[in-house]
Order: sequence, then structure tokens, then C-alpha cells
Amino acid sequence: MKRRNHLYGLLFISPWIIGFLAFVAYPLYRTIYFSFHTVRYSGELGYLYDFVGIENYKRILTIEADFVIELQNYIVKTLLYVPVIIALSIIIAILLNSKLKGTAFFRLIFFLPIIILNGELMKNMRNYGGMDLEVGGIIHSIINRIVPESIIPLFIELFAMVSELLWYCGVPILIFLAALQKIDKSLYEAAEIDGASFWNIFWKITLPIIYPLISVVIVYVVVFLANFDANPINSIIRSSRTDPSRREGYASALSIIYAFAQTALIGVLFFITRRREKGGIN
Amino acid sequence: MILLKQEHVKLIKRKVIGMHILDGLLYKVIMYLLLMILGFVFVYPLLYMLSTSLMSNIDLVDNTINWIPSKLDFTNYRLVIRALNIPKSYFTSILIVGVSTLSVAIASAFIGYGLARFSFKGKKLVFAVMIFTFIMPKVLFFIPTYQVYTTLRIKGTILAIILPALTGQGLQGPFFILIFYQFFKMIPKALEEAAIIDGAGPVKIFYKIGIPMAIPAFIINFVYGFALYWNETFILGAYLDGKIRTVTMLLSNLQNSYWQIIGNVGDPSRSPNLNFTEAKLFAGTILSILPLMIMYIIVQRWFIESIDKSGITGE
Repeated sequence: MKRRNHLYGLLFISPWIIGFLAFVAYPLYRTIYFSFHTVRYSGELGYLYDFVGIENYKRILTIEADFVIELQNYIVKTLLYVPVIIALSIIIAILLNSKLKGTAFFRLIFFLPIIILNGELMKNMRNYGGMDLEVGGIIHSIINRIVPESIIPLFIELFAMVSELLWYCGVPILIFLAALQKIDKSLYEAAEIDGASFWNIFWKITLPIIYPLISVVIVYVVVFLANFDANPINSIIRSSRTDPSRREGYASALSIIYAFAQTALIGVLFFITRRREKGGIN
Repeated sequence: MILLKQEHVKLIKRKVIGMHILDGLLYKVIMYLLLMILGFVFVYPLLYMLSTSLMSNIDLVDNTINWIPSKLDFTNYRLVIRALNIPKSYFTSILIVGVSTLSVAIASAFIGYGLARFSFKGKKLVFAVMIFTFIMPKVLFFIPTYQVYTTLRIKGTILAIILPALTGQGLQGPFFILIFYQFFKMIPKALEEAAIIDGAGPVKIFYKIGIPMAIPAFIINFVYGFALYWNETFILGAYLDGKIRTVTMLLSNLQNSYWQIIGNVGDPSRSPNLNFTEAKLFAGTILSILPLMIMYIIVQRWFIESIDKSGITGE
């Protein structure tokens, strides 16, 4: 019985094993192989590989600057974005989880990016003024009441940034909201009877419970930003593959460096959140 | 006298701030205000796109016109529908994306079931590898795969997209497998044992008991998977090699295709409204996400219900 069980298990996951070998293991091996070669293509002979050692890596890191610049941008951007996305998502998740009327409508809106977000949409919204608050008329007079004239450009900047980041919050909100909905309501009631303030309840109950999910969200957001079609690194790698002076070898080396950078980024962010957990908000 | 006043103050305070913090008026106002502000900031770009896409080029350069077009102008949509080859491209996209999503669902159900209901050696390794493939950027695998497809002559055909999907290696493959895993894990052991006593084999148990239990997983898979494939331009663009184009891919090339069709419509130098501007681009963007929006509005109730059931946070 045990043995049969074993066999059936393997039968069910056999598609995955085939897929892993064909679309992960083999390509990974080939990518590493390419990255140490210059790849040429000739009509009769097919693909030709000339071993060049670490030449591709050298060119990427020390001679040609386009990738390194974009990689730096990506890392800095991610380090800045991730905390803001997490903070915004937690705030929105808490708002959506409250007993207010109309949260269903707002949930519908904030979940929209889960369905419709793509690179083209983001590029078109961002690059052609879709996120620039038009400070004129009513909006201007409202803002002008709150902040002095000189801060308005800063305010517009902030608006555009938050607007873009909110579009990345779809899945994080979903993850946090699902966690919040599982919290036992009696926990809040008990805290309220004891006279705990909203602030205290947030720090002492809500945050510790959803804290482990921050790591999940970090992984999701970093991976999402890395794979997002609007990320210029992806277009650099894509165009390098067909660029006669670069070809597959160079592009492979690019993608390997990129993979390492991304993994390191996740590792660092993971490490930071882990340590604070031990430091004890609890 | 003073006592009475204090009593009043207390009463007002109670009305405004509430008995508990969570039901006071002030609290509610602040919460609504926050939701509205964030909602506004979030929706703003969409509204801006919508209003701009309805403007003629003359409105676009008119400084007095900010939000409301002088008259609703559907020229942008009329021209972009031709440039994007709608509705034909809609059907192509729905076919390609639909078949891919279905493949992902079938494969993920199988694999998820295998992981959830059977014990075998190396299961932990499978999970570890799945996390690895989830984390790695997609560009890491696509260059050699593209070569293999070229050699096998399936580049540019729908097979190039379906094959990875059918083997659990489609877009965000591990995610879908884990969703199914969660649901199959919830099947009570007793139910399975009863079926075994009745003489049902593992495959029969899978589709008689497993599949019905995993309906929410299928819903999540269909909705989210469809959206993922619809939105993807990098992988689909590379493997389909420009031979088959989804609407999202056509959108990234809108400006070129626009100039190609405009020759038959009129001369842009005579009628400035025919020039390619962001109004045309926005119209195209809205048209490209329109099918997803419609799908979302129709299925959102089941989608959100399924997410609630899935315990997605167990990831």
C-alpha cells in the first residue's frame, strides 16, 4: 500500500518533473553555459559557441554601463518601494477590514490591479501625465489651504509616487486582508474593554499577527518588480539577445547577474524583517 | 451647574468619539476620509486616461479644458479599434490566453493533488525547487528555451506557450500549484478511505472527490491566470515570435500600426485630429484592458469568495 501510494504520488507530479527538467534545469544549465561563450548563428551550421571565459561578465560590469545603471536603479527603487508598499497595503487592508459601510466597493477598486495591471498600462499612465495631479481650479484651492504655495510641486511629486505605488499594492492588500479577517474578533473586544486605544491595538494585536506575512509580501513584491514588463532591465536583456555585438552569451550573463542581485535583495530584506521579529514587538 | 456641564461634555464626547474607539463618529469620518483620499489617488490615473481618451487633439492642447472634453469625441476609439485590429485581436487573445489558462489549471490540479494527498521521498525538495523557480527572474530561462523552440520548430505557435503551462512551469506556476495544494489538503482523510474501501482507485478519487473540492481553486486559477497571461508581453512576445499577437502586444506597437492604417483614413497634416497623440494611446490602453475589466466585474463576487476560502496567506 505504502509503495503504491508512493508511485501514484510520483505519477501525479510527473508533469511537474518533466516541466522542471525541460523548462528549468536544462535552460538553467544552458544559460550558465552560454554566459561563458560567445554565441553565433550560421545558416548551415546552426548555433556556434566560442569559449570566452568571464569576458561577458567583465564587459557587463566594467565596460558597458547600461545594465549596471539600470540594476542600481532597480535595487534602489526596490529598497525604497518595498517599505512604502507594505505600509500602504497594511493601512488599506485595515481600512477595508473595518466594519464601515461601502468597504465592498473600495475592495473592488483596490483589487483592480490584481486583474488589469500590466507593463504597458503602467508605462502609458506614468509617462503621459496620467499621474500628474493637475493643480488647477478646485483642487488647487483645496491644496493651497492646506500647504503653502512653495510645497505644491513636492506635493505633486508625492501624489504621482503614491499613485504608482498604490497600483502595486493589489496582491499585498489581498494577503494582509486575508490575514486580518482570520483574527478572532473577541481579541479586539477584550482589548477594547480593557480600554486599549486604537493605536495600542494596532501595535499589540494587529501588527504581531500580520507580521510573518510581511516576509511573504517582500518576496512577492521584489519578484513582481523584477519581472514586471515595465522594468527596463528586461528590455535590455531582450534586446541584447539579438544585438549582433552581444547575442545570447552576453544576454545570459546579464540574466545570471540579475538573478543573483534579485536573490541578494530578497535575502537582505528577509534578514532585516526577521531580526526585528526577534527584537520583539511582542 | 458645573456638574451638569461636565455631564453634557461627556455625552457629546461619547457621541463623537464613541463608547469604544471603533464605533465613534470621529473614527468613522477619519477612516472614510483616508479611504477616499487613497481611493482617489489610486483611481486618478484611470479617470485621467478615460477623460483624455475622449478628447479631440484640439481639446488636448486647449488650456481651458482640463477634465471635461468640449464634446465627446470617439474618433480616437474609432481609429485605434482599426489599428489594434479589434475585434479579431480580441478573439485571438481570448483563445491564446484561455487555452493557456486552462492548461495551467489542469496541470496545477494534478500536481497539487500529488503533493497534497500522497507521501513520497523528495517532496520537500519539490517545494524547495518550486520556491526557487518562483523567485528566479523569468529572463533566466527564456534564452535557451527560445533556442530549443527554434530547433523544434514550435516557436511562433501556441504550443510554445502551452507546453510550459501543461507541465506546471507557466507564468507564476508554483503559485497555482500551491493554491490547489491548499484545497486538496483540506479533504478529510476519512472520505478518501471510504472511497478506497468502495474500490475506487486514486485517479477516480481525484476526479470524483478532489476536483469538486477544489472549485474555488479553479476559479482563482481561471480569473488570475487569465489576467496574468493577458497582461504578459515579455514571455508571450518572445515565444510567439510576433506570429501571433495578443491585444497587449499590439498595444506596445500601437504607434506604428496607427500610422499604417491612417493612410487610408485621411491626411494628418490637413486634419490635425488624426495625429497620433496620447489621447490615441490612452484609448488603446483602455481598449486593451476592457475585456479584463468586464470579466472582473462579472466574476469578482466568486473570485473574492474563493480567495476567502483559500487561506491564501498560508503560502
